[in-house]
Amino acid sequence: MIAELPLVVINVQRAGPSTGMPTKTEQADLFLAMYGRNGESPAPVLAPSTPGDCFFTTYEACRIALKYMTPVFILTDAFLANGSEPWMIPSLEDIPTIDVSYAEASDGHYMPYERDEETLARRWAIPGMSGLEHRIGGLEREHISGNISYDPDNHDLMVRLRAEKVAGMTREIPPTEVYGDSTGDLLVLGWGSTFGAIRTSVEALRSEGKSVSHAHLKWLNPLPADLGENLLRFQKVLIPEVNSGQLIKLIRSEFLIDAEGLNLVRGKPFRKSQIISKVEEIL
Amino acid sequence: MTNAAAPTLTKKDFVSDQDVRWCPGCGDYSILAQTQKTMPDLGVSKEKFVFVAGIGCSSRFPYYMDTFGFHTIHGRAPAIASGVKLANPDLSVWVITGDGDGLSIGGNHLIHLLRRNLDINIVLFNNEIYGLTKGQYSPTSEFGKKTKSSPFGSLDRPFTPPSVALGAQSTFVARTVDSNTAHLQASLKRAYEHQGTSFLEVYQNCLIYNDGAFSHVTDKAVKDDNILDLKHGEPMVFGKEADKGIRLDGFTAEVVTVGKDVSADDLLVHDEHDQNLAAILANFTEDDLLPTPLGVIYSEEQPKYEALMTEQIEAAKEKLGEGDLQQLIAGTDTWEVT
Ligand SMILES: Cc1ncc(C[n+]2csc(CCOP(=O)(O)OP(=O)(O)O)c2C)c(N)n1
Ligand code: SF4
Ligand SMILES: [Mg+2]
Repeated sequence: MIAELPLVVINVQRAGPSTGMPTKTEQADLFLAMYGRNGESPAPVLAPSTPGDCFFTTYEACRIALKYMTPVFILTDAFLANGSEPWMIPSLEDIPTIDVSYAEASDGHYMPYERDEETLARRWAIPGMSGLEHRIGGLEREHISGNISYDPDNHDLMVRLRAEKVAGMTREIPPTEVYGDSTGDLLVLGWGSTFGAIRTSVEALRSEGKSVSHAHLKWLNPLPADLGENLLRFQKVLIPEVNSGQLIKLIRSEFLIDAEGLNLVRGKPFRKSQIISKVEEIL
Repeated sequence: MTNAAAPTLTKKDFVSDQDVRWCPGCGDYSILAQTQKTMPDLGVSKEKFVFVAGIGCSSRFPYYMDTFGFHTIHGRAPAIASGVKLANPDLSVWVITGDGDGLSIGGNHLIHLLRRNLDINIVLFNNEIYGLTKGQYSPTSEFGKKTKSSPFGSLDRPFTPPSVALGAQSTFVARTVDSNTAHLQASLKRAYEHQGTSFLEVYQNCLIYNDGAFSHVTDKAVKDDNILDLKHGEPMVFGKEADKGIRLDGFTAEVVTVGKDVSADDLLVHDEHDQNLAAILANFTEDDLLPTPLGVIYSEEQPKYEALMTEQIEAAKEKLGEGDLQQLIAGTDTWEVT
């Protein structure tokens, strides 16, 4: 985190704690990805929603890691990892290339913690680049120079800069797509592998005339900038998760919305009937 | 790794602008100075040096070298150094670690780097204590040692680092001492020259928490009687009067006095390439009333991991052609829907 180097961590979640129930699915590592480090060290967290989406999410994670010089967490789970779906193999030509830019040796001293004005990414130099010799490490760095610093104001600044860098990634997130009406009685908000179960449930409920819509998050940190206004367009928000309530805590604290949870922690993915009966209970 | 066009470098080129934060008189200063002195002689251009360290007093080392450096996480320097080396085998990669960093928390990483034999130089500063955390016993502290974390004496049997390295199939094992500057420089050079993972143990005095741990090999009055200076192809003679030697009785080494009944011909001759001999030497301890071997205990030529990797990739390319990413993504078990 403090080294601010690009890294992609893929966590294929399964039922824990510890060895838990190997090969059984769970979505219980969201908080781990969000907060499971010492110090305040936010990192982007992305979750693919289908087996095919794993490809694009991983590609996106690599792009973000390089553009922002940061570790990125991807949360899939055993259900996604063992699942399959028809997938149109993308043509490489259609995939935008990822540009990587390195620092250049100039007359002055290379400043490893000088940041890009927009993204706040620091400048990257790798071993072997003449004139760019420098040291990085786990001790707090001085803003710009990257030298070790125990200065209280500098630490405060660096904590904020690292957080601001991640918060600024909302610029990478496309507008939230709401399936169904953009306003109504209930929005079912999901993340990760629950996509299929939620979508088919909402489809079924809508065909019965229920005022239910669906939004699904790929970005869990930062949350999309327009998420709050979308949530507020509904009377109620339901958040199904295969955990005992993690996204719901983020949503409640972030938007002060009294969302309801549907939480089954049985090592199994949701069934359509479970979601439908919960929605019927609420409405 | 050599670069003919490299400008002539001096010690100064390797001194960073950071204040050195070790206690005055710490053995780490000498190791730093000898490293800075030795690097210019290796014929490597400066940007190709990478110093990777874990955590500890010793592991702050990279901050003081004006090269690429990474002060990583406790015990993990070998893993990160392996990545650095594999990403660019042209680099001269050095792992700086301590007895705690390398043998406690990082023991697992260390042994796997050693057996893989990447061309990385490991320098383990052994002060037989955790210095940075203010004096807890380490895996090299002697049995019974009283420290803050072992008030009634440690119950752990200590590691002998060269034995650990040999057990992990290290292809180069050597030992030197912080205060013997010439020997230290020569050892660093030998470690660099070895093609494969080099393991260099440096006895390092921590004058705050374990002062004098190595006085038997640093104290002028006694050191000559305690040091066995290993020289390849030469009989093992030591002592102030060069009158003592090492002889084998079966597989057991014993100290003999040269002269009366024993001639120089009866003595063990050092052979760096003899693994069995290395195993015996690495286990010499004071407790067995044997001298402390310094110098190259063992060296052997084995293929370097990165060379094998490159070979494997080339062979695969030859057999299967250049890689095709599109094809790789498509895999073999896919089909087109029309
Ligand atoms: C994961 C982790 N565990 C424990 C520590 C505390 N710690 C810092 S240095 C150290 C021991 C270092 O000993 P050694 O490698 O012998 O270094 P020295 O200070 O003696 O040079 C320990 C236990 C830490 N920094 N990180
Ligand atoms: S505590 Fe010991 S090892 Fe650490 S800097 Fe001081 S003298 Fe050196
Ligand atoms: Mg130590």
